[in-house]
Order: sequence, then structure tokens, then C-alpha cells
Amino acid sequence: MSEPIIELQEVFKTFGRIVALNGVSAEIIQGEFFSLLGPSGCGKTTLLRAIAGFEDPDSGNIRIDGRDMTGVEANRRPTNMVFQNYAIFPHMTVAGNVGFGLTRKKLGTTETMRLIDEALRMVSLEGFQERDARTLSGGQKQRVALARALILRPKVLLLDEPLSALDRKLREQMQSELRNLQRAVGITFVLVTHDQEEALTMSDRVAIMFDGSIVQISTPEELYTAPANLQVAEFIGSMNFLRATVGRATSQGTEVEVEGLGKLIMASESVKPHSAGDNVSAGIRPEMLTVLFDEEAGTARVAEGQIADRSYYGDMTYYAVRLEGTEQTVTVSMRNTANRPILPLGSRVRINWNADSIVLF
Amino acid sequence: MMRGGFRFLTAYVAAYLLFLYAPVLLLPIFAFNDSRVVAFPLQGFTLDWFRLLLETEPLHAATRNSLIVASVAAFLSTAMGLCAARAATRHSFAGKKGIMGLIMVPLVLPEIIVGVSLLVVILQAGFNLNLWSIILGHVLICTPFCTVILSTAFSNLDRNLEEAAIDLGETKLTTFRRVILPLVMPGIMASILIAFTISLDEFIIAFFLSGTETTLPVYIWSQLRFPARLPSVMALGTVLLAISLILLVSAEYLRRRASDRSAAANAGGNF
Ligand SMILES: Nc1ncnc2c1ncn2[C@@H]1O[C@H](COP(=O)(O)OP(=O)(O)OP(=O)(O)O)[C@@H](O)[C@H]1O
Ligand SMILES: [Mg+2]
Repeated sequence: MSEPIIELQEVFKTFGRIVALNGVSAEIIQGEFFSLLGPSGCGKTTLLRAIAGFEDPDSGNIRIDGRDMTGVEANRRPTNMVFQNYAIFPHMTVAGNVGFGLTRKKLGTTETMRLIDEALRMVSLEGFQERDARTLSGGQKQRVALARALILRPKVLLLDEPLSALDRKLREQMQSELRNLQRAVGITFVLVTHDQEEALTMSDRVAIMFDGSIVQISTPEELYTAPANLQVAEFIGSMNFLRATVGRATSQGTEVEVEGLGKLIMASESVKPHSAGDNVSAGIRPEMLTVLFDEEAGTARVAEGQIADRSYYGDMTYYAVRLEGTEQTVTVSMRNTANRPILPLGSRVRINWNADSIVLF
Repeated sequence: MMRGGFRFLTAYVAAYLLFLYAPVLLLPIFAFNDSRVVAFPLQGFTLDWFRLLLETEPLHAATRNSLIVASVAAFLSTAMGLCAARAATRHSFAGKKGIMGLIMVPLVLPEIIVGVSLLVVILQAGFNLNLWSIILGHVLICTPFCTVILSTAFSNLDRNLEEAAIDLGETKLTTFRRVILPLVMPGIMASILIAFTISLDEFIIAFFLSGTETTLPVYIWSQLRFPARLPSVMALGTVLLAISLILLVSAEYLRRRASDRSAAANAGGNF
């Protein structure tokens, strides 16, 4: 693992009685694409602004590139920011905006122009130099904001929900462009978002924030398959939760009795820290459950049920299946393929699962 | 019933507008009327009264004084309004509402009270009455207008623009110069023009606070005692009317441009 570029130690910040940051500790690694993901009001913007130098933490410590940032003004930090509304200077041209931060470097006209051209090429806005910034579309403003920040070669680029104002199509396009740009320049990106899909698709690592605290930092895959707690599991994607009881440990693994699914053996490792007799919650994602069609061979692990509800999404169908002998309903998602019919409500089905994909809370 | 009410309203509006603008329209009519008596029927066209204006030496002095007073007062009250507006829109401090309220009070204070009380203070303090005492009074009554105009300009300004400038390495001071000032400049110009116009035609305070040197309105008032000078006063009034109109229209134009600008700035996210 390479060097941390940002180190956060027990950062606290309150606004009157509101605790915006409740002891945030994290390390962000040099060159990674790092996302801060959490529901509205959890303190993402506050944390980003504390890193940028626009909020002074009440206590705790922020180090960037090994330097303690306490008392260092925003204009002296090796960070640059892309604001949510882009904050493009309306009284300047595109070149004026992009070259804004170069002015105080006194590079001379030719060098400045060259850097502006280069930065605009980087965000695919060649030839926009003399355009009035007010006449740009949202996506173009976004690119100008990126170029304006990246031209200064910051150690860290901070982005506060940069894509939330764009329409869906443009947003998806910008997601991959942003990702490619980050790889190309090799600068550490810290992205704030409340859109989990965005965080999962773009990031090397994601930090999940709730109520001013980071509850999990991990890769997108880990976050999805091994959420640290129930709250994270509920927040990321969708998940079925079934009542379960931990049984005894055997040589193959630990027995777990799951309501509606019956007794199954789980790797002892994934049962930790629960022990025999504990009442727990077993979480399983809809795509980890499968509806078995008649021609598909059954396996040992099946449960019987009846389709209580159905949502059709074109490529996918979501079934709500009431499990036999319980009041428990689970959601099962099925990819729609040529040989799979869309099952009608009330059909009796068998469902199948993989014990490895069950997470206990 | 309806029809009668409608006719009455139309007549009312017509009478109202006539009452409001007829005197103003009479000004240019008599300014070009070839008679010493300000009365109908009109006697023919002349430019004599305007020519007379050019030859009246004390009038020139009064005009010069008025221009000096209005310029200095406009500049000072805009500078003060700038500080007040900035403080009001960006910072929160104890007693902010009260202080902002106090700045606005001269807006509703009878000018005669402002004039008399300033006169007492200046004389008690042992100062002489001169153009500066008039400027002082005018700054007092112009500052609320400037503060209101500039507060609008500042509150339309996106706060993120300032932070963006600081983020890009600028200091508070250079941010003000490179970002804030250019964006509120139309507001500043509007404020200067409004203050200039207010000061230019202010009479009561200027009357109380002028020493040996007077401003144009005070001079006009002194001329009204001589009926023979009335037509040339009308000519002077016409000139002033034209100037005021031009200033007000420019101020309004600039104010609209200011809000257009900040609107464009705010439109960043939600295009
Ligand atoms: N300047 C401020 N004054 C008072 N309270 C503030 C201030 N800034 C943030 N807060 C409060 O701190 C908490 C965290 O705010 P923050 O803006 O960091 O949330 P967020 O995670 O960015 O939310 P969102 O996704 O809605 O942008 C919120 O309760 C918010 O109301
Ligand atoms: Mg936010």
C-alpha cells in the first residue's frame, strides 16, 4: 500500500448544537479515487470543506502530504475544489476562468496560454478559450471547473457532488470521463456523493458516512458483498433480511438456522463475532437468490414459496416470494433471458441460494 | 353598474396622471415661451431663457457647487453603503438587525429634522457652514439608498465564487478585486448615480447647511422671489429634468444588468 496523502485524525466539527463531524478518522492514499458516500446531512460536504480549508475543525487533525494543515488557509493548501454549482466566474471567458489560478504564478503569456490550451484539451474543450463563460451548458461548465482546478496540479482534487446537476445521460458520460481523467493525471480525487451507484462505479475506495462518522472504508466490491453493519447493508443496494439463529460449530463450518431457508452451514469465519445461540439477522441480496425453473436442475438448498408481487424492469424482473410456512417475503431478482418466462403472480416456485453470499448482522 | 365603475376608474387614472405630470410638462413648454409672464396663451418660440442661463454668473457657481457636492456625496455614500452591504450580506454579528435598521432610519426621517439637527451640531462644534456641511447631510440621506442597492447586488452574488477564488490561491483582498468588485460594479454605478441624483436636487438640508456658497436648488429658490426670472428658472428646470432622467434611466439599466449578471452566475448548476 502506498503513502497516505490525506490523514484525518479524530476530526470534530459542530455548528451550534449540530454535530456535523463526530470524530472522523481516515487515510486517503496517494493517487486513488476516493469517494465519500452517505445520506443527506451526514457531513460529507463539511468534511470536504474541512480538507479544503473552508471549515476549521473544532478538534482533531488534518494532514495533507505529511503536513499538518491546522491554521493553513484554503489558498495555501495543496488542494483544489470543484464546487457543486461549478462556481464559474461569469465575468470572464473560459480562458480567464481556466487560467485564473495561474495569474499569481506570473508565468508569462505564452506559457500561460500553453497551459490553458493543455488543460482545455484534457477536458475536451479545445477552442473554447474565448467563449463567454455565461454561455456554457452545465456539462461544459463542469469541464471548465475541472480544468481550472487541475491546471494548478493540486496534490488532491476535491469534488462536491459534481455530477448531481447533470441529466442522467450526461452524468453517466461524465462518470467515465472523470474516472479516465483521474487515471490520466494520477492526482488523488476525493469525491462527495449521495449516489451509491456513482460511488461504486467510479471509486477505488469508498467511505460510508452516517451522522458525522465514517462507518466503513473499503473497495466497492467489499462494501457491497461485506457491509460492515446493518445500516451500511441497508444503504447500499437492496438486501433481504431474515431472522436467524446461530447453531453449533462443526468441522465443515457453523450451522445457522435461517427462517424460511432452513438450516445451512456457513464458514465459521463469516459467522464471527456471533456465537452459538445468538439471534441474528441474515442478509442476502436479491441477485444472490435464484428462482428455479422446471427444466433447471434443483440442488439441495431450495426453499418453496409463492410469488406475491412482481416488478418488471425490462432487463430484470423482481419477484417478491412468500416463503413456505412463514410470513417472510424475500425479493429475488432475475435477469430476463430468452428461455425464461415472466412468472405470473401466485405461481409456486422453488428458490435457490448460495450460503457464501449470506451476511450475518 | 360595472361599466360605470370602469369609466370612473379610467377618469381617475387620467386625472391622476395629469396631476402628476402636467406641472413637469409645463416646465419645458414655458422654458421655450417667448414671454416674461408665465401664463397661457403661449407667445412664440425662443431660446433666450437658455441663453440667459449661460450668462448668469451666480448660476454657474451654484451649478459647480452642486456638482461638487453631488459627486463627493455620491462617492462617500456609495463607499459607506458598500461596507454596510457587505457586512449585512456576508457576516453575522451581534445587533446586526438593529444596526442595519439604524442605517435605514434617514430614509423615513423628515429632512427638516436632519437639516436642523445637523445645523445645531455643526455650529455647536464650532465648524463653519460650507460645502462640506452640505456633503455631510447628503451622505446621511443617500447612504440608506446606496446600502439597499448594494445589498441587492451582494446578495445576488454566489458565495461559492469567492470561495472558488480563494481555493485557486487568491487572498481575501485580491478576491475582492478580481471577482467581487467586477460582479457588483453595475450595482456600484447604480448606487453612485442614484446618490448623485438625490444630492443634486436636495433642497431642505442644503438650505439649512449652506454658508456663503449654495447649491443649485437653493439658488433656484432664491430666484423665485423675482418674477422676471421665472422663465429662466423654467429653462434651468428643464435642463435639470433632462439630466435627472438620463441619470435615472442609466442607473436602472445598470441595476438590471447587475442582476442579470448575478443571475447568470447563479445559474451554474441548474441550467
Ligand atoms: N454553515 C453551517 N451552519 C450550520 N449548520 C451547518 C452548516 N454547514 C452544515 N451544517 C449542518 O451540518 C450537517 C452536515 O452538513 P453537510 O452539508 O456536511 O451534509 P452533507 O452530507 O453534505 O449533506 P448533503 O448530501 O445534503 O449535501 C447538517 O446537519 C447541516 O445542516
Ligand atoms: Mg453536501
